[in-house]
Amino acid sequence: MSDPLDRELERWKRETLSDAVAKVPERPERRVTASGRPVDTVYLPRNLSNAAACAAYLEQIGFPGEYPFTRGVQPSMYRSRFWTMRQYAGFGSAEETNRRFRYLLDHGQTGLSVAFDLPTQIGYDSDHALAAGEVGKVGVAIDTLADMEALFDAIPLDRVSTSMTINAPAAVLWAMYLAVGAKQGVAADRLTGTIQNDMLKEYMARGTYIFPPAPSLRITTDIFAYGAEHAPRFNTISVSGYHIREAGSTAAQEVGFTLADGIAYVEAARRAGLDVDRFAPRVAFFFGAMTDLFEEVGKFRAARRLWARIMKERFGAKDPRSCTLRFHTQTCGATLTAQQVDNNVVRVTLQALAAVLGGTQSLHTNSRDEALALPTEASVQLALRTQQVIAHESGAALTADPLAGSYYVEKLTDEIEAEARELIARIDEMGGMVRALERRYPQSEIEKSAFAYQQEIERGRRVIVGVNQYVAKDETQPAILTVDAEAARRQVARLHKVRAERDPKAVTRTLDAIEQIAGSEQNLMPAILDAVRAYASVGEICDRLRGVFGEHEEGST
Amino acid sequence: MDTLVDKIRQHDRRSLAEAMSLVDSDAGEAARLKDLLRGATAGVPWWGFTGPPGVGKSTLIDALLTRLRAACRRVGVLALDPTSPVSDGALLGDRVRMMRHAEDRDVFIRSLATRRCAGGLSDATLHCARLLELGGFDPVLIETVGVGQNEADIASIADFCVVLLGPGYGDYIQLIKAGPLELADVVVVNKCDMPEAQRLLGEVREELRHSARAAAESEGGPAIFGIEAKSGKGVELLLEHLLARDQSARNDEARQRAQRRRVLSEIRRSALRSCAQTMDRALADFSSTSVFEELVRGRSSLSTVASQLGADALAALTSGAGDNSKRTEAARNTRR
Amino acid sequence: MKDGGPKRILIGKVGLDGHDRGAKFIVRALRDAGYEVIYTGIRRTPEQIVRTAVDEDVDAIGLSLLSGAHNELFERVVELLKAERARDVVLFAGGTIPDQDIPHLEALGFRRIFTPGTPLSEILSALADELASAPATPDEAAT
Repeated sequence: MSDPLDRELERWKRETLSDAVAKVPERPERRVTASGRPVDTVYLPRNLSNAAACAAYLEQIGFPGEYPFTRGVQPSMYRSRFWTMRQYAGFGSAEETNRRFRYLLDHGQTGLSVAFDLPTQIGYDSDHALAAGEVGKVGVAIDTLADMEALFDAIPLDRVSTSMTINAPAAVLWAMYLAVGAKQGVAADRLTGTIQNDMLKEYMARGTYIFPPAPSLRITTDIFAYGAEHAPRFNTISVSGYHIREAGSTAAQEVGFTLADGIAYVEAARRAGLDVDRFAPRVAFFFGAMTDLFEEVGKFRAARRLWARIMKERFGAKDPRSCTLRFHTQTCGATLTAQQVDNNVVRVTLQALAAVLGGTQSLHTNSRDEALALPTEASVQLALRTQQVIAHESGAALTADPLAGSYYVEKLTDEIEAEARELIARIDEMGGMVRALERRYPQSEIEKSAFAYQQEIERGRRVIVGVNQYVAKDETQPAILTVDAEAARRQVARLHKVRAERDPKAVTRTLDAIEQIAGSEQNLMPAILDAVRAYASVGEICDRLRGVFGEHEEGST
Repeated sequence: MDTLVDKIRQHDRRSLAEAMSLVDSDAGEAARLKDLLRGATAGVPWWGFTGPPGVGKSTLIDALLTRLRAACRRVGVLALDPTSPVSDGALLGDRVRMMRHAEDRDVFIRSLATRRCAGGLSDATLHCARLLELGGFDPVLIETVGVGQNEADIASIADFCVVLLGPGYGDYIQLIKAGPLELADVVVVNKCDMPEAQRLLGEVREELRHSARAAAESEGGPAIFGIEAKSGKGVELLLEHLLARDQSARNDEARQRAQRRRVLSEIRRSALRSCAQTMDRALADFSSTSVFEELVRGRSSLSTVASQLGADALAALTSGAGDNSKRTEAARNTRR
Repeated sequence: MKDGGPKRILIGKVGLDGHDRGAKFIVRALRDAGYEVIYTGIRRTPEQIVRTAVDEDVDAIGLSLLSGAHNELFERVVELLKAERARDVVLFAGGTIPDQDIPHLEALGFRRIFTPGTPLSEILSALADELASAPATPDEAAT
């Protein structure tokens, strides 16, 4: 026991690991390699006899489940519980998506992730002129609570966690989810899941905004406050780097801009009077995974360490849970090629492995045919199987942070953290993220990176298999999923039926209340809940808010 | 050609758009159309907008459009963007900020590339503005490139000129000193919700107080406004001022003055272009002469050769410019 | 008529999807290839696209769309262009468009559909060919 790190290991087991394992025991499978060699929860540098070297290790890397969380947020990582396998799904009508959800749950998926169609995401009802051609296309169309009830029919909300990719109208869709829970007899404080609710990255990269930044942030913080009080197990935001990466940023930009967004939300919540340690544990993150395995692992570790430091040093967080960066990962859709689609399975495998080696809390693996259209059922199953093979057969889940100590990965981790820190400093200088967005700083940095990357591909300085090398002639595309053209018409018919059958007085009254509260400083959530319970539609609610808040136009940030 | 002019007068959008392409390309019948336009217009004030890139010129014009439309004005906008010196291509991105007016038939926005013209405007700008006028658009708003280079051109064709400044765009103190304020009738500081903008506003006031122009101006020099184009704060007040200027630019005397300035500017552009072309041709010929070789070796004086070349070029111009086969006198002389 | 200067191309994001990485790349690449490019920004209606194309008198329109709403929205653009008598403009498109939809779009009048992974060099040379072979704008200016 002369090695100081051995003493630290004993302390960690005593103080951190044992509690965690008591709460969530390790899985019953044997924790051995393929040849039967036993595997430990964590591996440490050897011969670190010097006290200074030991202190440096603890400061930079440390133990899983302990500050600065470089090695992961849980002490025993996947030995206790795998990441949540959460396939993003949704298309056509609520009934169709409900069938896909149940199919996925039957095949071993452990959480739901709802994709909404673009009209829903931008707060237009399915019969709005701007919804033409878009209803049910990239996700499920939700107009009223009736759709949400159909979406979760026969799925007990106390037993699944649900992630919803919804931003500008997040308050409305979340209110509908809470209302469905109530109808199933599940109180809000027993519901688990995540709403994306990250508006800043919409202006930066994703584009599904409705209102200008200031009222958007106000709705966001209303959701935080409501969640902290009524639905404390629900993650009320998922600060998203995925779309920033998909827009073409580098790994360091993904971390830097995402954490800068995170800082802006924490600051907004504090201005709204929320205590950091009450709110920060409900902040989740969402990153992309590219095919460059080592850089991605470095990125995830860097993000975790940098966020821990920001929360502690900048915001004075005391609760360790405030300092943990928990994240969902999706394999990067932009890496999928329309050529030789089976190659995508291999890409996704590497990307998924990067996410697992990087310590993700949940994972979506893209399907091989997604550069062509929405995935078929068979493709989705293969994507899910990919995660299951990594979980059960690769050995990557046997020990925490298996790549720690790799000279290369540690260096990447350090570099990405440093570069991200610089980007955050730049944004601080500009007066914060909202200001930086107005000056188009992150947007233009992302555009520059995207252009440079694409130029390298065009010039053959970067090889994409099957695209600019090893090109096959006369490929035939596989069968793809087509969304039933009738689905849109049925959706509109259902909306009209709901409108005809609901109590119009209750709708008007609750919508009026929303409008009035939007102009005040009160929390919008209770009024929105009343309106969705009266079967007011997403579009009707958003229209009232548009009337008060105005609409955001591209280029006006 | 007369049919085209008639169609534009009858608000035919497509004819207007195509006529703009014609003057922009300077091909075929462009010269005739330009001559026709000169006599057919000069009744409508042109508002000039300049300022550094990114300061919010398009956003301000967007905000003004909304308000001018509310007052039932049909508004024409010309938005200039720079042509790439490498590729001759251009990214015309200003109208992204005005897309909310895209479907309004009483707004006509045209993006123009500078096509390698210095001065922040293209040769076609003036003709396109006249075309907008012919098409019944009143007023015509012209947004320059705003790369901080000499933008005096806008002052020579617009009835009045708005210089837009804002915090955070380069060293604005230098910008002020470099002189764009000299051509300003109205100075607007954007993003006035930021403290730096308030400071900038103070500096602008200070600078203008000292400027020679302000002293000379009997009305007390350029007006100064602080606004926030994005939220619209201060835009009403600014517009009120611009409309007053617009009104006082409408009397006969002002119209005549404007027309004379524009025609002078047109001649100047056209003549300078001819001179430059003739000079380039003369130089190309000259570079293959023995006199040139002597100069390169440092064996003769440049000043006499240069003035001779200049004089010859002018002579060539007067004896029929634009003819590609014409050799200049200087070239012929030196080859003997 | 417009041989006196660079060709003008409008790049439009029609529909509600905000994925503009590809569109922005093409915009820059076309600029670098010597075109004057007008970019509309995201979330544009067919009406806005066509009005802009007419006012800007462009030689070509490129539409980008990744949400799968191409059949409906592209058709609408073509309808509006016809109503504006602007049939001679070269139409092309890019995005996640499955092979099975391409014949329909070509029948509508789209000269080229560029799916993900198409090399830039191929896009540029196809466009140059199409613009060179495009029937000249009915020359009402010369009447």
